[in-house]
Amino acid sequence: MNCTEVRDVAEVYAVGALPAEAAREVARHIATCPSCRLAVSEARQVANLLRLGVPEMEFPANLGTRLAESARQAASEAASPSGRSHWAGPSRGLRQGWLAKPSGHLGWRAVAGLAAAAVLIIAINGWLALQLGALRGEVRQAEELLAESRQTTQTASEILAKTSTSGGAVARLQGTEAAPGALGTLYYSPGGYEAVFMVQGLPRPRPGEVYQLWLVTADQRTSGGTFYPEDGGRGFLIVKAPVPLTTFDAVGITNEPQGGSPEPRGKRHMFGELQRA
Amino acid sequence: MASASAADEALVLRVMHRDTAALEELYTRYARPIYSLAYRILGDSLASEDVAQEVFLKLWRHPSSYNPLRGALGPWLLSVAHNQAVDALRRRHSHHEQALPDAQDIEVYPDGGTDPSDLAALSEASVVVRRALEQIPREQRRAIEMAFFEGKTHVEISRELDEPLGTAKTRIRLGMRKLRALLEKEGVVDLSP
Repeated sequence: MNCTEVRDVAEVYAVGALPAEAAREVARHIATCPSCRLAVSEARQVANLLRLGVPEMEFPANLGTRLAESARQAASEAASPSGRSHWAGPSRGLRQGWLAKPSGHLGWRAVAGLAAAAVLIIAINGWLALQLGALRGEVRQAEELLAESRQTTQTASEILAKTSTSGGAVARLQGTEAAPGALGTLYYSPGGYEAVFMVQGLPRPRPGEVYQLWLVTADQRTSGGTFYPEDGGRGFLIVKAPVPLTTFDAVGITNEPQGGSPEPRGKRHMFGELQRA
Repeated sequence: MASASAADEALVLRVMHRDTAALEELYTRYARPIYSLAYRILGDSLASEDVAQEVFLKLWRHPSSYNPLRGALGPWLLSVAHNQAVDALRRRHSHHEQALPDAQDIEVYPDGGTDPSDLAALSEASVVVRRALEQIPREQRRAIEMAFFEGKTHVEISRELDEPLGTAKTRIRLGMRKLRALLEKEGVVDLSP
Protein backbone atom coordinates (compact mmCIF):
# COMPACT_ATOMS: atom_id res chain seq x y z
CA MET A 1 0.00 0.00 0.00
CA ASN A 2 1.15 3.53 -0.67
CA CYS A 3 0.42 6.58 1.45
CA THR A 4 -2.75 7.53 -0.42
CA GLU A 5 -4.19 4.04 0.00
CA VAL A 6 -3.32 3.94 3.69
CA ARG A 7 -4.91 7.34 4.34
CA ASP A 8 -7.97 6.11 2.51
CA VAL A 9 -8.45 3.19 4.90
CA ALA A 10 -7.07 4.72 8.13
CA GLU A 11 -10.50 4.92 9.79
CA VAL A 12 -11.52 1.47 8.55
CA TYR A 13 -8.30 0.06 9.98
CA ALA A 14 -8.81 1.91 13.26
CA VAL A 15 -12.19 0.28 13.89
CA GLY A 16 -10.83 -3.15 12.94
CA ALA A 17 -12.85 -3.50 9.74
CA LEU A 18 -10.03 -4.30 7.34
CA PRO A 19 -9.58 -7.92 6.29
CA ALA A 20 -6.45 -9.53 7.70
CA GLU A 21 -4.14 -9.15 4.73
CA ALA A 22 -5.03 -5.50 4.16
CA ALA A 23 -4.59 -4.80 7.90
CA ARG A 24 -1.12 -6.33 7.77
CA GLU A 25 -0.23 -4.14 4.80
CA VAL A 26 -1.30 -1.04 6.73
CA ALA A 27 0.70 -2.18 9.76
CA ARG A 28 3.80 -2.71 7.59
CA HIS A 29 3.40 0.70 5.96
CA ILE A 30 2.93 2.71 9.15
CA ALA A 31 5.93 0.99 10.72
CA THR A 32 8.12 2.98 8.34
CA CYS A 33 5.99 6.02 7.46
CA PRO A 34 5.66 8.57 10.28
CA SER A 35 3.02 10.75 8.60
CA CYS A 36 0.71 7.80 7.89
CA ARG A 37 1.39 6.49 11.41
CA LEU A 38 0.13 9.81 12.73
CA ALA A 39 -2.98 9.64 10.56
CA VAL A 40 -3.76 6.11 11.80
CA SER A 41 -3.01 7.10 15.39
CA GLU A 42 -5.49 9.97 15.16
CA ALA A 43 -8.15 7.68 13.73
CA ARG A 44 -7.48 5.26 16.58
CA GLN A 45 -7.90 7.99 19.14
CA VAL A 46 -11.38 8.62 17.82
CA ALA A 47 -12.07 4.87 17.66
CA ASN A 48 -10.96 4.45 21.29
CA LEU A 49 -13.65 6.91 22.31
CA LEU A 50 -16.32 4.67 20.81
CA ARG A 51 -15.94 2.48 23.90
CA LEU A 52 -17.23 5.36 25.99
CA GLY A 53 -20.35 5.65 23.86
CA VAL A 54 -21.80 2.39 25.10
CA PRO A 55 -24.90 2.93 27.26
CA GLU A 56 -24.40 1.64 30.77
CA MET A 57 -26.17 -1.62 31.56
CA GLU A 58 -27.83 -2.84 34.71
CA PHE A 59 -25.16 -4.59 36.63
CA PRO A 60 -25.41 -8.18 37.93
CA ALA A 61 -25.30 -7.99 41.69
CA ASN A 62 -23.41 -11.26 42.13
CA LEU A 63 -20.46 -10.20 40.00
CA GLY A 64 -18.69 -8.52 42.90
CA THR A 65 -19.01 -11.68 44.94
CA ARG A 66 -17.54 -13.79 42.13
CA LEU A 67 -14.65 -11.42 41.70
CA ALA A 68 -14.03 -11.24 45.42
CA GLU A 69 -13.84 -15.01 45.55
CA SER A 70 -11.48 -15.14 42.57
CA ALA A 71 -9.25 -12.45 44.05
CA ARG A 72 -9.14 -14.32 47.35
CA GLN A 73 -8.13 -17.48 45.51
CA ALA A 74 -5.51 -15.60 43.50
CA ALA A 75 -4.24 -14.01 46.70
CA SER A 76 -4.00 -17.34 48.50
CA GLU A 77 -2.29 -18.90 45.46
CA ALA A 78 0.26 -16.12 45.69
CA ALA A 79 0.48 -16.85 49.44
CA SER A 80 1.04 -13.20 50.22
CA PRO A 81 2.28 -12.80 53.78
CA SER A 82 1.27 -9.15 53.99
CA GLY A 83 -1.94 -9.73 55.99
CA ARG A 84 -3.44 -6.68 54.30
CA SER A 85 -6.37 -8.45 52.74
CA HIS A 86 -9.54 -6.69 53.88
CA TRP A 87 -11.91 -7.85 51.14
CA ALA A 88 -14.73 -9.35 53.16
CA GLY A 89 -15.34 -11.28 56.32
CA PRO A 90 -12.87 -12.17 59.00
CA SER A 91 -9.32 -13.05 58.12
CA ARG A 92 -8.11 -16.65 58.15
CA GLY A 93 -6.32 -15.87 61.40
CA LEU A 94 -9.54 -14.74 63.03
CA ARG A 95 -11.42 -17.80 61.79
CA GLN A 96 -8.77 -20.16 63.06
CA GLY A 97 -8.42 -18.44 66.40
CA TRP A 98 -12.09 -17.95 67.13
CA LEU A 99 -13.94 -20.71 65.34
CA ALA A 100 -11.60 -23.65 65.22
CA LYS A 101 -10.21 -23.98 68.72
CA PRO A 102 -13.18 -24.38 71.11
CA SER A 103 -14.69 -27.66 69.84
CA GLY A 104 -11.64 -29.80 70.54
CA HIS A 105 -11.25 -28.58 74.11
CA LEU A 106 -14.92 -29.01 74.96
CA GLY A 107 -15.08 -32.61 73.70
CA TRP A 108 -12.31 -33.76 75.95
CA ARG A 109 -13.51 -31.91 79.04
CA ALA A 110 -17.13 -33.07 78.77
CA VAL A 111 -16.33 -36.54 80.16
CA ALA A 112 -15.17 -35.19 83.50
CA GLY A 113 -17.36 -35.18 86.64
CA LEU A 114 -19.39 -32.26 88.03
CA ALA A 115 -16.50 -30.81 89.97
CA ALA A 116 -14.35 -31.07 86.94
CA ALA A 117 -17.20 -29.54 84.93
CA ALA A 118 -17.29 -26.54 87.25
CA VAL A 119 -13.56 -26.14 86.90
CA LEU A 120 -14.00 -26.58 83.21
CA ILE A 121 -16.63 -23.84 83.01
CA ILE A 122 -14.32 -21.48 84.81
CA ALA A 123 -11.49 -22.54 82.55
CA ILE A 124 -13.61 -22.09 79.47
CA ASN A 125 -14.81 -18.72 80.66
CA GLY A 126 -11.24 -17.72 81.24
CA TRP A 127 -10.23 -19.13 77.89
CA LEU A 128 -13.13 -17.34 76.18
CA ALA A 129 -12.14 -14.10 77.86
CA LEU A 130 -8.61 -14.59 76.60
CA GLN A 131 -9.91 -15.40 73.14
CA LEU A 132 -12.17 -12.36 73.25
CA GLY A 133 -9.23 -10.23 74.26
CA ALA A 134 -7.13 -11.73 71.49
CA LEU A 135 -9.98 -11.24 69.03
CA ARG A 136 -10.36 -7.61 70.04
CA GLY A 137 -6.62 -7.22 69.63
CA GLU A 138 -6.78 -8.73 66.15
CA VAL A 139 -9.72 -6.53 65.19
CA ARG A 140 -7.90 -3.46 66.51
CA GLN A 141 -4.80 -4.49 64.58
CA ALA A 142 -6.85 -5.04 61.42
CA GLU A 143 -8.50 -1.64 61.89
CA GLU A 144 -5.10 -0.02 62.34
CA LEU A 145 -3.81 -1.73 59.21
CA LEU A 146 -6.87 -0.60 57.32
CA ALA A 147 -6.51 2.98 58.56
CA GLU A 148 -2.83 2.91 57.77
CA SER A 149 -3.56 1.53 54.33
CA ARG A 150 -6.17 4.20 53.66
CA GLN A 151 -3.85 6.89 55.00
CA THR A 152 -1.09 5.58 52.73
CA THR A 153 -3.43 5.73 49.75
CA GLN A 154 -4.52 9.24 50.66
CA THR A 155 -0.94 10.40 51.07
CA ALA A 156 0.23 8.70 47.87
CA SER A 157 -2.81 10.09 46.11
CA GLU A 158 -2.02 13.64 47.26
CA ILE A 159 1.62 13.32 46.24
CA LEU A 160 0.68 11.98 42.81
CA ALA A 161 -1.89 14.76 42.42
CA LYS A 162 0.74 17.38 43.23
CA THR A 163 3.10 15.62 40.88
CA SER A 164 0.60 15.71 38.05
CA THR A 165 -0.41 19.35 38.57
CA SER A 166 3.02 20.91 39.09
CA GLY A 167 5.05 19.57 36.21
CA GLY A 168 5.78 16.29 37.91
CA ALA A 169 8.94 14.35 37.34
CA VAL A 170 9.79 10.70 37.30
CA ALA A 171 13.11 9.08 38.13
CA ARG A 172 13.80 5.56 36.93
CA LEU A 173 15.94 3.32 39.10
CA GLN A 174 17.77 0.34 37.66
CA GLY A 175 19.02 -2.65 39.58
CA THR A 176 22.75 -3.04 40.06
CA GLU A 177 24.65 -6.34 39.94
CA ALA A 178 23.17 -7.14 43.35
CA ALA A 179 19.62 -6.90 41.93
CA PRO A 180 19.84 -7.21 38.15
CA GLY A 181 16.07 -7.69 37.65
CA ALA A 182 14.95 -4.75 39.77
CA LEU A 183 13.14 -1.77 38.27
CA GLY A 184 11.86 1.18 40.24
CA THR A 185 10.11 4.50 39.71
CA LEU A 186 10.10 7.58 41.90
CA TYR A 187 7.24 10.01 41.29
CA TYR A 188 7.85 13.51 42.60
CA SER A 189 7.22 17.16 41.89
CA PRO A 190 10.28 19.34 41.41
CA GLY A 191 9.66 21.67 44.36
CA GLY A 192 8.17 19.00 46.60
CA TYR A 193 9.46 17.27 49.70
CA GLU A 194 7.56 14.03 49.23
CA ALA A 195 7.64 11.32 46.60
CA VAL A 196 6.10 7.95 45.87
CA PHE A 197 8.54 5.14 45.13
CA MET A 198 7.57 1.77 43.76
CA VAL A 199 9.74 -1.10 42.74
CA GLN A 200 9.56 -4.66 41.53
CA GLY A 201 12.05 -7.46 41.04
CA LEU A 202 14.09 -6.89 44.18
CA PRO A 203 15.47 -10.05 45.81
CA ARG A 204 14.14 -10.89 49.25
CA PRO A 205 16.45 -9.30 51.85
CA ARG A 206 18.41 -11.51 54.22
CA PRO A 207 16.75 -12.22 57.60
CA GLY A 208 16.85 -9.16 59.80
CA GLU A 209 17.39 -6.81 56.88
CA VAL A 210 15.28 -4.31 54.95
CA TYR A 211 15.92 -2.05 52.00
CA GLN A 212 16.62 1.61 52.59
CA LEU A 213 16.20 4.43 50.10
CA TRP A 214 18.87 7.14 50.01
CA LEU A 215 18.68 10.60 48.55
CA VAL A 216 22.12 11.33 47.23
CA THR A 217 24.20 14.48 46.77
CA ALA A 218 27.92 14.67 46.03
CA ASP A 219 28.84 14.65 49.71
CA GLN A 220 25.75 13.48 51.57
CA ARG A 221 23.31 10.56 51.82
CA THR A 222 19.89 11.26 53.36
CA SER A 223 17.52 8.44 54.28
CA GLY A 224 14.17 8.44 52.51
CA GLY A 225 12.80 5.51 54.50
CA THR A 226 12.90 1.72 54.61
CA PHE A 227 10.71 -0.95 53.07
CA TYR A 228 10.43 -4.70 52.81
CA PRO A 229 9.58 -6.18 49.41
CA GLU A 230 6.84 -8.75 49.08
CA ASP A 231 6.06 -11.30 46.39
CA GLY A 232 7.78 -10.56 43.12
CA GLY A 233 10.15 -8.21 44.91
CA ARG A 234 7.44 -5.54 44.96
CA GLY A 235 7.97 -2.64 47.30
CA PHE A 236 6.24 0.65 47.95
CA LEU A 237 7.43 3.63 49.93
CA ILE A 238 6.35 7.18 50.59
CA VAL A 239 9.58 9.15 50.64
CA LYS A 240 9.83 12.24 52.84
CA ALA A 241 12.81 14.51 52.37
CA PRO A 242 13.95 17.33 54.70
CA VAL A 243 14.63 19.61 51.71
CA PRO A 244 13.11 19.80 48.19
CA LEU A 245 13.81 16.66 46.23
CA THR A 246 15.45 18.59 43.43
CA THR A 247 18.24 19.40 45.89
CA PHE A 248 19.43 15.83 45.36
CA ASP A 249 21.31 14.35 42.45
CA ALA A 250 20.23 10.75 42.63
CA VAL A 251 18.42 7.99 44.50
CA GLY A 252 19.93 4.73 45.67
CA ILE A 253 18.70 1.60 47.44
CA THR A 254 20.87 -0.44 49.81
CA ASN A 255 20.22 -3.39 52.11
CA GLU A 256 20.45 -2.40 55.77
CA PRO A 257 19.61 -3.87 59.18
CA GLN A 258 15.96 -3.72 60.22
CA GLY A 259 15.09 -0.20 61.34
CA GLY A 260 17.51 1.31 58.86
CA SER A 261 20.96 2.86 59.16
CA PRO A 262 22.02 6.48 59.69
CA GLU A 263 24.17 6.20 56.57
CA PRO A 264 24.44 3.56 53.84
CA ARG A 265 26.52 0.55 54.90
CA GLY A 266 24.99 -2.21 52.81
CA LYS A 267 25.42 -3.04 49.18
CA ARG A 268 23.90 -0.75 46.56
CA HIS A 269 21.01 -2.61 44.90
CA MET A 270 19.48 0.15 42.79
CA PHE A 271 20.38 3.56 41.48
CA GLY A 272 18.79 6.34 39.40
CA GLU A 273 19.36 10.01 38.74
CA LEU A 274 16.99 12.82 39.69
CA GLN A 275 16.29 15.87 37.60
CA ARG A 276 17.91 18.82 39.32
CA ALA A 277 16.13 22.15 39.66
CA MET B 1 -7.80 17.13 47.53
CA ALA B 2 -6.27 14.56 45.26
CA SER B 3 -7.63 14.20 41.76
CA ALA B 4 -9.47 10.98 40.91
CA SER B 5 -6.80 9.91 38.44
CA ALA B 6 -4.14 10.29 41.11
CA ALA B 7 -6.38 8.29 43.42
CA ASP B 8 -6.60 5.60 40.73
CA GLU B 9 -2.84 5.48 40.51
CA ALA B 10 -2.56 5.21 44.27
CA LEU B 11 -5.07 2.36 44.21
CA VAL B 12 -3.04 0.56 41.56
CA LEU B 13 0.04 0.99 43.73
CA ARG B 14 -1.89 -0.64 46.56
CA VAL B 15 -2.94 -3.47 44.25
CA MET B 16 0.75 -3.98 43.49
CA HIS B 17 1.08 -4.22 47.25
CA ARG B 18 -1.49 -7.07 47.19
CA ASP B 19 -4.23 -5.06 48.86
CA THR B 20 -7.59 -6.56 47.88
CA ALA B 21 -9.45 -3.56 49.34
CA ALA B 22 -7.84 -1.42 46.66
CA LEU B 23 -8.96 -3.86 43.96
CA GLU B 24 -12.45 -3.73 45.43
CA GLU B 25 -12.45 0.07 45.20
CA LEU B 26 -11.31 -0.01 41.57
CA TYR B 27 -13.98 -2.59 40.87
CA THR B 28 -16.61 -0.32 42.40
CA ARG B 29 -15.44 2.50 40.17
CA TYR B 30 -15.07 0.75 36.84
CA ALA B 31 -16.91 -2.58 36.75
CA ARG B 32 -20.12 -1.13 35.34
CA PRO B 33 -18.68 0.56 32.21
CA ILE B 34 -16.50 -2.50 31.64
CA TYR B 35 -19.43 -4.88 31.91
CA SER B 36 -21.51 -2.62 29.66
CA LEU B 37 -18.81 -2.58 26.97
CA ALA B 38 -18.42 -6.35 27.11
CA TYR B 39 -22.19 -6.76 26.87
CA ARG B 40 -22.31 -4.44 23.87
CA ILE B 41 -19.79 -6.68 22.10
CA LEU B 42 -20.98 -10.10 23.26
CA GLY B 43 -24.70 -9.56 23.94
CA ASP B 44 -24.52 -12.18 26.67
CA SER B 45 -24.57 -11.38 30.36
CA LEU B 46 -22.67 -14.47 31.52
CA ALA B 47 -19.86 -14.01 28.99
CA SER B 48 -19.75 -10.29 29.82
CA GLU B 49 -19.40 -11.09 33.51
CA ASP B 50 -16.49 -13.36 32.63
CA VAL B 51 -14.84 -10.53 30.70
CA ALA B 52 -15.30 -8.06 33.58
CA GLN B 53 -13.89 -10.58 36.01
CA GLU B 54 -10.90 -11.31 33.76
CA VAL B 55 -10.10 -7.61 33.44
CA PHE B 56 -9.84 -7.14 37.20
CA LEU B 57 -8.01 -10.40 37.73
CA LYS B 58 -5.51 -9.35 35.08
CA LEU B 59 -4.99 -6.13 37.02
CA TRP B 60 -4.64 -8.12 40.23
CA ARG B 61 -2.15 -10.60 38.79
CA HIS B 62 -0.16 -8.16 36.64
CA PRO B 63 -0.70 -4.65 38.03
CA SER B 64 2.52 -3.45 36.44
CA SER B 65 1.01 -4.08 33.00
CA TYR B 66 -0.75 -0.75 33.57
CA ASN B 67 1.65 2.14 33.06
CA PRO B 68 0.23 5.43 34.38
CA LEU B 69 2.67 7.38 32.27
CA ARG B 70 0.92 6.14 29.13
CA GLY B 71 -2.63 7.03 30.03
CA ALA B 72 -5.41 7.06 32.59
CA LEU B 73 -6.65 3.86 34.15
CA GLY B 74 -10.28 3.93 32.97
CA PRO B 75 -9.58 3.94 29.22
CA TRP B 76 -6.88 1.32 29.77
CA LEU B 77 -9.30 -1.00 31.57
CA LEU B 78 -11.83 -0.50 28.77
CA SER B 79 -9.15 -1.37 26.20
CA VAL B 80 -8.34 -4.56 28.06
CA ALA B 81 -12.06 -5.39 28.27
CA HIS B 82 -12.44 -4.77 24.54
CA ASN B 83 -9.55 -7.15 23.81
CA GLN B 84 -11.02 -9.83 26.06
CA ALA B 85 -14.47 -9.47 24.53
CA VAL B 86 -13.12 -9.55 20.97
CA ASP B 87 -11.17 -12.68 21.83
CA ALA B 88 -14.34 -14.27 23.22
CA LEU B 89 -16.23 -13.27 20.09
CA ARG B 90 -13.52 -14.79 17.92
CA ARG B 91 -13.70 -18.05 19.86
CA ARG B 92 -17.45 -18.07 19.46
CA HIS B 93 -17.27 -17.48 15.70
CA SER B 94 -14.15 -19.41 14.90
CA HIS B 95 -15.53 -20.16 11.44
CA HIS B 96 -15.83 -16.43 10.85
CA GLU B 97 -13.88 -15.13 7.84
CA GLN B 98 -13.42 -11.77 9.55
CA ALA B 99 -9.92 -10.76 10.32
CA LEU B 100 -10.38 -9.80 13.92
CA PRO B 101 -7.04 -8.40 14.93
CA ASP B 102 -4.95 -10.51 17.25
CA ALA B 103 -5.33 -9.37 20.82
CA GLN B 104 -1.73 -8.25 20.87
CA ASP B 105 -2.31 -6.17 17.75
CA ILE B 106 -5.02 -4.11 19.39
CA GLU B 107 -3.63 -1.03 21.01
CA VAL B 108 -4.14 -1.56 24.69
CA TYR B 109 -3.03 1.94 25.41
CA PRO B 110 -4.96 4.75 23.89
CA ASP B 111 -2.86 6.67 21.41
CA GLY B 112 -2.83 9.62 23.75
CA GLY B 113 -4.91 12.76 23.55
CA THR B 114 -8.26 11.03 24.08
CA ASP B 115 -7.71 10.08 27.62
CA PRO B 116 -10.39 11.11 30.10
CA SER B 117 -8.31 11.04 33.22
CA ASP B 118 -10.80 10.10 35.88
CA LEU B 119 -14.18 8.58 36.45
CA ALA B 120 -16.04 11.89 36.26
CA ALA B 121 -14.24 12.83 33.04
CA LEU B 122 -14.97 9.37 31.68
CA SER B 123 -18.62 9.78 32.49
CA GLU B 124 -18.78 13.25 30.90
CA ALA B 125 -16.96 12.00 27.81
CA SER B 126 -19.46 9.13 27.53
CA VAL B 127 -22.35 11.59 27.31
CA VAL B 128 -20.56 13.63 24.65
CA VAL B 129 -19.62 10.57 22.59
CA ARG B 130 -23.18 9.22 22.71
CA ARG B 131 -24.53 12.62 21.65
CA ALA B 132 -22.00 12.81 18.81
CA LEU B 133 -22.85 9.31 17.62
CA GLU B 134 -26.51 10.31 17.45
CA GLN B 135 -25.58 13.17 15.15
CA ILE B 136 -23.94 11.12 12.44
CA PRO B 137 -26.18 9.52 9.79
CA ARG B 138 -27.77 6.31 10.95
CA GLU B 139 -26.27 4.11 8.22
CA GLN B 140 -22.76 5.44 8.95
CA ARG B 141 -23.22 4.84 12.68
CA ARG B 142 -24.48 1.34 12.00
CA ALA B 143 -21.45 0.48 9.83
CA ILE B 144 -19.03 1.79 12.50
CA GLU B 145 -20.78 -0.16 15.24
CA MET B 146 -20.86 -3.38 13.21
CA ALA B 147 -17.12 -3.08 12.70
CA PHE B 148 -16.03 -1.95 16.15
CA PHE B 149 -18.41 -3.88 18.37
CA GLU B 150 -19.35 -6.85 16.21
CA GLY B 151 -15.94 -7.45 14.68
CA LYS B 152 -17.07 -7.41 11.06
CA THR B 153 -15.01 -6.37 8.02
CA HIS B 154 -16.30 -3.79 5.58
CA VAL B 155 -16.77 -6.66 3.11
CA GLU B 156 -19.02 -8.54 5.54
CA ILE B 157 -20.91 -5.40 6.48
CA SER B 158 -21.61 -4.65 2.80
CA ARG B 159 -22.79 -8.22 2.31
CA GLU B 160 -24.96 -8.23 5.42
CA LEU B 161 -26.59 -4.94 4.52
CA ASP B 162 -26.92 -6.05 0.89
CA GLU B 163 -25.03 -3.08 -0.42
CA PRO B 164 -22.31 -2.71 -3.07
CA LEU B 165 -18.82 -3.73 -1.96
CA GLY B 166 -16.98 -0.73 -0.65
CA THR B 167 -20.06 1.09 0.57
CA ALA B 168 -19.42 0.11 4.17
CA LYS B 169 -15.84 1.31 3.86
CA THR B 170 -17.03 4.69 2.67
CA ARG B 171 -19.62 4.89 5.41
CA ILE B 172 -17.11 4.06 8.09
CA ARG B 173 -14.64 6.64 6.78
CA LEU B 174 -17.24 9.41 6.49
CA GLY B 175 -18.81 8.56 9.84
CA MET B 176 -15.52 8.47 11.68
CA ARG B 177 -14.44 11.78 10.17
CA LYS B 178 -17.71 13.39 11.13
CA LEU B 179 -17.42 11.91 14.61
CA ARG B 180 -13.92 13.31 14.93
CA ALA B 181 -15.10 16.78 13.92
CA LEU B 182 -17.95 16.67 16.44
CA LEU B 183 -15.70 15.45 19.25
CA GLU B 184 -13.08 18.08 18.46
CA LYS B 185 -15.78 20.73 18.58
CA GLU B 186 -16.88 19.43 22.00
CA GLY B 187 -13.27 19.44 23.21
CA VAL B 188 -13.25 15.72 23.98
CA VAL B 189 -10.50 15.13 21.48
CA ASP B 190 -7.80 17.52 20.36
CA LEU B 191 -6.07 16.38 17.20
CA SER B 192 -5.20 19.78 15.82
CA PRO B 193 -1.63 19.92 14.51
